[in-house]
Amino acid sequence: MAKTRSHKDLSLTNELDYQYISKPGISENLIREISAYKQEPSWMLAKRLQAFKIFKSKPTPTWGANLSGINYKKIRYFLRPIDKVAGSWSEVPKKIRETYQKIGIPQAERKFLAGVVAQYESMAVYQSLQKQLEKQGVIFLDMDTGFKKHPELVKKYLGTVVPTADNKFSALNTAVWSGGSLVYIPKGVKVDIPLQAYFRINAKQVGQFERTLIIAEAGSQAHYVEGCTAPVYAADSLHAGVVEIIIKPGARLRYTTVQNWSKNVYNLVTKRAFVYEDGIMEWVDGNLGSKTTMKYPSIYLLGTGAKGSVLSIALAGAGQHQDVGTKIIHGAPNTSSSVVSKSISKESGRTSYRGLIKIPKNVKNCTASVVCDALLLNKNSRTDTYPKMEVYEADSGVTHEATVGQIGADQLFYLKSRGISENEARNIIVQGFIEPIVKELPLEYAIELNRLIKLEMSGLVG
Amino acid sequence: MKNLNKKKLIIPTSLKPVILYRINGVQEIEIKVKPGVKAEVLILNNFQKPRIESFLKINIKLYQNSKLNFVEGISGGQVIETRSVVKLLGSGAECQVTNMFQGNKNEQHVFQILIDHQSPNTKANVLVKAVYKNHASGKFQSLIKVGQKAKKTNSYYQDEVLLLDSAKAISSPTLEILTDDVKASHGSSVSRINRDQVYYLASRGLDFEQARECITAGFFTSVIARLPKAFCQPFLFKE
Repeated sequence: MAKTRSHKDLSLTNELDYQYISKPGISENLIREISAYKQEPSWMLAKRLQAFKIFKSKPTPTWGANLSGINYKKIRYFLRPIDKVAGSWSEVPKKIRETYQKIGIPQAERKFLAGVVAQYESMAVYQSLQKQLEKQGVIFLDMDTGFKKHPELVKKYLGTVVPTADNKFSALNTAVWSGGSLVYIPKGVKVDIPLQAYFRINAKQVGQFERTLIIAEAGSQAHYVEGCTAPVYAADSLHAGVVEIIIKPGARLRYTTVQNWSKNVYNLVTKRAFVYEDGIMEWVDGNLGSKTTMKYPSIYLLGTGAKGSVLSIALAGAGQHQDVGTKIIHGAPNTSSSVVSKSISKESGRTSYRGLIKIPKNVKNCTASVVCDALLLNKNSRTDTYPKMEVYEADSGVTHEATVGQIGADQLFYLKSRGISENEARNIIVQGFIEPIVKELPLEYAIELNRLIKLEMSGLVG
Repeated sequence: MKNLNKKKLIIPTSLKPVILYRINGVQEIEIKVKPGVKAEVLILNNFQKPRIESFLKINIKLYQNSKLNFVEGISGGQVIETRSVVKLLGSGAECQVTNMFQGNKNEQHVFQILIDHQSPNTKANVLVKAVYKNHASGKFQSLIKVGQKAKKTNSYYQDEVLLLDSAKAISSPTLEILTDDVKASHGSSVSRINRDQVYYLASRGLDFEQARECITAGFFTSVIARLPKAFCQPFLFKE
């Protein structure tokens, strides 16, 4: 196995010497190679190979967005930019640092963040953990290091929330996963600073198959933040991540994502959380980029008194399809959930909300509410709402509301009468529309999101 | 499909309300409302026998500036299915659909509606109300489709299901909007009886059964408010 290969054929914005680049396409040999390269125990290899069989046997889902453009043979399934996981910022290669500076992370990172697991390509390149966190016993590592250091933890929980055979892409992820984060918060520990992982894809046809596992022990609290950006390339890319979260009794976790993949990426993510007695799970989800997103963060409320909430915002520009939604299963009595989903479609963009709320028989006193708002900006924009409420227990309350509209002429008129230009007025209205979700984001993300939406909106003539 | 009962109803001028009855078996009704006509159609069932299985397909076509007030009231039966397609073909067409379901014992109701806005300035308003007792169940599926040409559309769908005892319900209101400059929304709720209301009535001396009856009867008032006067008679409670 050659350790250094150049790849001049890739038209990267920043040229990098990858220590290891897999050939495009997926095969059993490739999986063995990845596993051997990572020096994994045999049970993980067996798991990967089994997952590959499931991946091959499952058809590509056709019920949602159009996925016919994915060419599995052209995707590179494994890449790592540097040999070791860097211990401090200065050890991170200069070129990678430059790319990060363009997105504007370092300043924010140094001031506020506990530690960063920045996933550049398929592996973590940078990570720093504050001493305070280490003292508390919090594990916040990239998945590869985490697996080496805490194999018993990974073995115990990996695949328990999202089984390999859950869907085609969770099987693919299990077969070729690399990167992601491992987070473990011990009993009763409250982490005040958000735990951030920032990652991006930066090579042609690179699949990102990160695997994240978060375990919040009883009574603990944390906020995990994930953001993705990627520059523009020509060929289609695939991102199929899996996120598994376990919230033990009384624990509370918030998982925030701002997704801005380049407009040729298929973003097919499986995210799921199990919540036990009196636990609270909150998903905050922003979907801006990618060609096609299919992402339905789910919450399984498995203990009495558990709560779940999902806040999501989707923006679809020309040629984009954001097929997002949520699934909430009330598996225990006295549980409650709420979903707020906002979407904006402009030009030929399409946004869809696809959701399920399920209350099984004999699970008493559960309440759920769903609110979906869609904003259409152009006459060829499209929005869909596909909610489903399955209530098998009469002692419960489920509500759903959805509205579709455009920027109100009277709102525009009012702002224009105050001397604001039409473009600026539209901007203000859109920012107001998404405000309920933006205010839930950490400050620097809120700024970034507002900046991105402004960028998307600029030059838009109604 | 043996006893398929097909009926074509073309409404050329504004007439008195038309009342149609559902039968045991498969039934198909086509309703065309000619331009400028205001029509009122009521579909009822008078199922005397138990274990009735009734499948009804309704195709409604509305032409320019026509208006339709469509009401369906279902109670009883073993399996009752209604699949309706409402096509708003002419500009300015308006449709008001009201459905009311009452289920008891093991009764199963399936309701499906497609509101297809194909022309500009069309309006649709759908209200579905259902009360299920014992082991009854209901499935409600709706799709509001707004085509690229259907500017200035105003469409609303609402379903409200009240569940008692061991009843269950599935609701799936969906939207597909292909253009801007439209108003489209839906609301859906599946819930138990409001405990505060029960408490209030109990404080006035009603027992739980009485309170429940009161609340259920009150639940349907919003439906009755939408009916033309001629329609009200069949909905008066007999219990």
